[in-house]
Amino acid sequence: MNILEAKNIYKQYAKHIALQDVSIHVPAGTVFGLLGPNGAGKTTLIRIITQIIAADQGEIIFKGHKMTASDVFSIGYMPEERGLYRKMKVGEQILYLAQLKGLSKETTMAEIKHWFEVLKIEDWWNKKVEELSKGMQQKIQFISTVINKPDLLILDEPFSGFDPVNAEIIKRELLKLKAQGTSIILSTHRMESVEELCDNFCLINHSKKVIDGPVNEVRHQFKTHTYEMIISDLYQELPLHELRDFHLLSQKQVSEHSQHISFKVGASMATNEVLKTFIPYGTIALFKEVLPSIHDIFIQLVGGSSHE
Amino acid sequence: MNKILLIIKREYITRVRNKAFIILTLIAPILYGLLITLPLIANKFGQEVRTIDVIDESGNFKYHLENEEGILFKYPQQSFSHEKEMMKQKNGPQLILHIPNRFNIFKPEGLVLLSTKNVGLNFSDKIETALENRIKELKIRDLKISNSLMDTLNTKVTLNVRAETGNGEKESSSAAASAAAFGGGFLIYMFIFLYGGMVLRGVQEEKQNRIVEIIISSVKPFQLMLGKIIGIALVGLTQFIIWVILTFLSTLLIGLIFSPSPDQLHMVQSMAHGPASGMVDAATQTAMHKISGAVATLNLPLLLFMFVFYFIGGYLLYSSLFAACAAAVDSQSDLYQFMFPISLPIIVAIAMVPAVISNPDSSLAVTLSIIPFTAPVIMMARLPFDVPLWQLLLSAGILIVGFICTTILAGKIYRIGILLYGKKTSWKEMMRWLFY
Repeated sequence: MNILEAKNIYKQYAKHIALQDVSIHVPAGTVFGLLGPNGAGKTTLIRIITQIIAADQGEIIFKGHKMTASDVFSIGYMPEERGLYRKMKVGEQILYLAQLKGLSKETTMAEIKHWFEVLKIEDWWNKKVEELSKGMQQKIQFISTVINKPDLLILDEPFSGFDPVNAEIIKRELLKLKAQGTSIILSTHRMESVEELCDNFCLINHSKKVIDGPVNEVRHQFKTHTYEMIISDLYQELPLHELRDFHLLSQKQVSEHSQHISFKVGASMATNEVLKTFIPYGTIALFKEVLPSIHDIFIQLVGGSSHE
Repeated sequence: MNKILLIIKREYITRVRNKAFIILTLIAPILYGLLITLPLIANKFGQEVRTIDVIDESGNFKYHLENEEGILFKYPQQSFSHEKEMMKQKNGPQLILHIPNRFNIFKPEGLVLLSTKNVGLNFSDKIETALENRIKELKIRDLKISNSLMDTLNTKVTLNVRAETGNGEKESSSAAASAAAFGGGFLIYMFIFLYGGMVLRGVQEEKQNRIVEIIISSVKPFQLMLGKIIGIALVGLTQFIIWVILTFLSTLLIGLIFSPSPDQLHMVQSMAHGPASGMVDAATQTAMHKISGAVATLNLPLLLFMFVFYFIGGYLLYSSLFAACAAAVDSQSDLYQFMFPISLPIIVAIAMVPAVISNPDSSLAVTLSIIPFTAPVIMMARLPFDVPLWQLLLSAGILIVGFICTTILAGKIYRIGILLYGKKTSWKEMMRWLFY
């Protein structure tokens, strides 16, 4: 079942088209990556989903029904441009934002205690936001987004501003939330976090959807038939000429009797066929098909226009 | 509804807890109390009395100049040149009034006041008055005008001002009414900008911080705007009530401490070495009586009630427009482009107050007190002069309709503007948002 479906969304601002016939579907309990270069229309789509702005055309289906204003309360949204009241104390701020989302004071207090422990910021209640560094403020922002346990989390560039240690903590917590059944939409232009976290993704460029689907399927779809192999105990020359459209990418001696080679073959050769060719020649220590990264696919599809 | 309450609560509490707010709220009335009781305090400690050595070569003024408040004339037997020498010494005379030998009362020229220090305009005025009075006496004698004829010429008129209302006559004081009119109009003007400015900065902060995106995903923009406006209105009311109470208390307290007791009066008199200061105290006391009497002629409960009404009405009208402007623009400099035309009516209103006070029932005054943008200031200025009930009700009614309209219109601009960044907004565009 999909927790969220956006169907044929169009949105036009005064002079430019922000979204053109964009459809996505987010299966419940999964992490969905919304990818695209800056200015592609990601934030517009998110704002339409969170009902901050209205679409010109198209509809949003949430949990199987047409989305209504009250569904917004089941969504936790962390915008890319983070904002907090600078003069307010951390604790009061989270409490206020949670109460605006309809949480009772008692529930909120228990949740704040939990999250303060998880993120190791137990003594921050009375600190003013303006005293915190950017990364520290980010933690507060994250807590206030997840505190009401929304069914759907929408995070716009969630890792920007975090150091690697804290980014890791946030990733771990996101996966925990996913395990508890929360659906998550990650909007980002950082491809590596998509491969790590996302089950499905959608790539938007110039206000149009370029590709979408499960991360692994799409990577297979774009595979270049590239393999990596470590073979040892070689007793004769490898039969590289036997492989159709063979193209050697690199070859190096790992130890006296073992080699690491990386190569490409023609699309007509199945993986098993390639493997079978090598088996008689030595002990295969590693054999792996190298799938293109989302980043490669992104570059391939979007090309030079991605870095405008 | 519950969410608006939450927003109101936050807006109210964060501001009321602010240290600067607390200090201002507490200090202002004390300063104000000091200000209005300062004359009393000045009296208590006695005024500085400056001695003037009069060198009268004509002989017409010696012992005949009347001592004024803070001025004591002395008549040393020295020559003018000797006095001038003495002036250079440390303990010598500081002020010398020289009246030359051939001084002609019908052609008064050649009078000189020498001073070691700067002399204020007010001070030299007093000396001139003393001289003029003596010259008048001399002229009366010279022209052989008899005392009885003089008494006949002098007429003293006291105007007894009474307001004619439906419920019969009552005493009124036009001075007190003017003061109340100006004070009321000006306070409304000040309060609208003070608290309207808070709304403006609050909206700007939320927009620049981008926290508005988070809040808008749980409440409607209109709720956020309304919550802010109401929260700050309550801050304003709180501050106003505290100010009224504290001003009253501090005036009372300072008045009590410094009100001259008979003992002190005596002391002040002996300290000042003259009958003048005793007279001053008596004069001040009668003046104080007059003022309190005049204040009593004003309908204070009505004034206070209408003040609160026009403050809230005017504030709601303007602050919603301020909020819309702050939401629509990104940069401070763009803001002024919108703020000026919006605040123009109220600036015009405050400029018209003197004209309104001098003629509170002119058609201009009546019109301005009904137009909602000028009504808060102008009606407060007209109110002490007894405004017909129908005009008051009409003005109040239109103001209520007015602020409901501006709040709804402002809400529409706010809703769109608050999420727009990096774009210069024009008037034309804002108008389009109204129908979006």
